[in-house]
Amino acid sequence: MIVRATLVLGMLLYSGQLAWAVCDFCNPTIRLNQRVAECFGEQLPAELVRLQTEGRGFVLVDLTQCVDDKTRGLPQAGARTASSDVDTSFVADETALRCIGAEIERLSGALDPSVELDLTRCQ
Amino acid sequence: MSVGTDLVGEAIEEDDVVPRRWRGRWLRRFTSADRMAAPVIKMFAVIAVILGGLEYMDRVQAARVEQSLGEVDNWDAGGYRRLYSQVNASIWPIYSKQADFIAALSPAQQAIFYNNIGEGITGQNNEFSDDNDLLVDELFYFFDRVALCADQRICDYDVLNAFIGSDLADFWRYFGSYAERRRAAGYGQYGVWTERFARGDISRATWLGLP
Repeated sequence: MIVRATLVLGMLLYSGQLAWAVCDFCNPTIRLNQRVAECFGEQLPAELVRLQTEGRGFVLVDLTQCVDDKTRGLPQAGARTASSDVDTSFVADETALRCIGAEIERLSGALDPSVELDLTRCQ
Repeated sequence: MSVGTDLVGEAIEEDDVVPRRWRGRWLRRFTSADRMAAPVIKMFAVIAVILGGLEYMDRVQAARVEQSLGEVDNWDAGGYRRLYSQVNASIWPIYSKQADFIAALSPAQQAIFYNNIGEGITGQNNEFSDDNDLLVDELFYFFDRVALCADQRICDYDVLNAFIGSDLADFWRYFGSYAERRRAAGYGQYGVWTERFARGDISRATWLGLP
């Protein structure tokens, strides 16, 4: 009885630890603007599927196609653009992905010029 | 008055001991030899100045190399390599879990992973007082000093780059975001020199110290 109880307790503690473990490769913070956030919102379901498919526990989200920096003149010749401050590639686990989605919904319309999201607070 | 006149007369007489035609011949020969020797002497003078300059430059460079090797010695014997190993010991178990995956990514994507691992092993708060924060801080101090030494041409960039360049570049790869976070938290130019060294943006020692 005691052995069984210890095992169950151990398993519970272990699973709890996994649930609270911070992803070693994930971005602690990300910066988004309205445009990239909307793009992420559209991409979120696909990213969650990819997360399950790849089975690493994290995904490298690529939102570079959401930012159109094509302007006339030489590339990168001008001053920093608003999109250069935004994270168009970042690493996130499931908790962070859902957290970002929720934060985007909450802050909808108030993400410009850009907002930094602290993903370490996601639970 | 008469005494002065006599002295002048004697001087003229003594000069006349050497006949005028002899005097003219020797003068012509001397002038001719002088004209021939002048370019040679000038050439030797120029060579001497150049050799002196080269010798000076050689000594300055030797002093730079000596200073650089002193810093390399400080890296090895001063405990900084040990601190680096400690930091590496925190990074390696994390990195090795996804080493193949990270290796297959583009350099820009790899940079995201490296920076996140670096951020992950430090305290992730703006107190910067965790054990790994202190280790990283010590290493930034050393790397900043070395980079500044090279940029001010007190040390030789090539020597430092050969001995600790790859360690410094790897360190920056993992802790670039950390340095930026510290700057954002008010630590002014934190890690700027390490960053410049890692990017190769250091003023190199040039001939005669010209920029």
